[in-house]
Amino acid sequence: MAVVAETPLAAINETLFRLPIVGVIVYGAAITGGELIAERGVEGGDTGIAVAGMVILQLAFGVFGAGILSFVPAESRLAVLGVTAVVVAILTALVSGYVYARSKSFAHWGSYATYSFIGGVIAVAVGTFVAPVLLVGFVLIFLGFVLRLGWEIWRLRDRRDISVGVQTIGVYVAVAGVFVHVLQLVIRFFARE
Amino acid sequence: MVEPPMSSAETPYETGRGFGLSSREARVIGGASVLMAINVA
Repeated sequence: MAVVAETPLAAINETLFRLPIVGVIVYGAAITGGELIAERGVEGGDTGIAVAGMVILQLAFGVFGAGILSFVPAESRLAVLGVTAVVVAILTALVSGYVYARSKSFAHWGSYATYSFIGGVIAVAVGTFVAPVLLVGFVLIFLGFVLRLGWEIWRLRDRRDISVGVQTIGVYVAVAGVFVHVLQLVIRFFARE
Repeated sequence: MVEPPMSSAETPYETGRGFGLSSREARVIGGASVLMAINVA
């Protein structure tokens, strides 16, 4: 993100989010597709496919995060990323602590996450024409990634039949999704200050 | 004898491990952390 923010790639968000629903669909497709490809590569033992999926995921989160980061003066970017990393680490520890402290299944959190993502995309579609609804879309997609993180942590705890590679990709995608949303909140906080 | 992998339905929730991480969990968290670090850089 920090490196891409210095390149013309950081301007892609501006074009994609001229119509917010277009940006959400493009990044949503890149993240979903990248994860499926990476998982298929890991499960099939095909390193090339796995790396291709990981490159798509890194580019999707990297370019999206860089676009957000480009709103911040270059000299403040490191501080903003540092604060975001600390907030995400605390949030991840809270979700993990909650899941590990309770001896029950969190399988339903996967479904809740999916509903939250679908609701978020619908809200952004409406928000493309009625701007205030965009905030609902942000909250629902952010919540979707937090629930997805809890679901991934539960799978890590209880589903030892799933490969380490596939679970690593799942946890990474959930944390990265939370990260880019917290990044937006941190930047808004700094801008207000 | 090779035991089949456990499904979530068969997995005992009381692992008795407290907050200690297994090497498997540590590998997943370590791997995800490295991927995040690359992404943020």
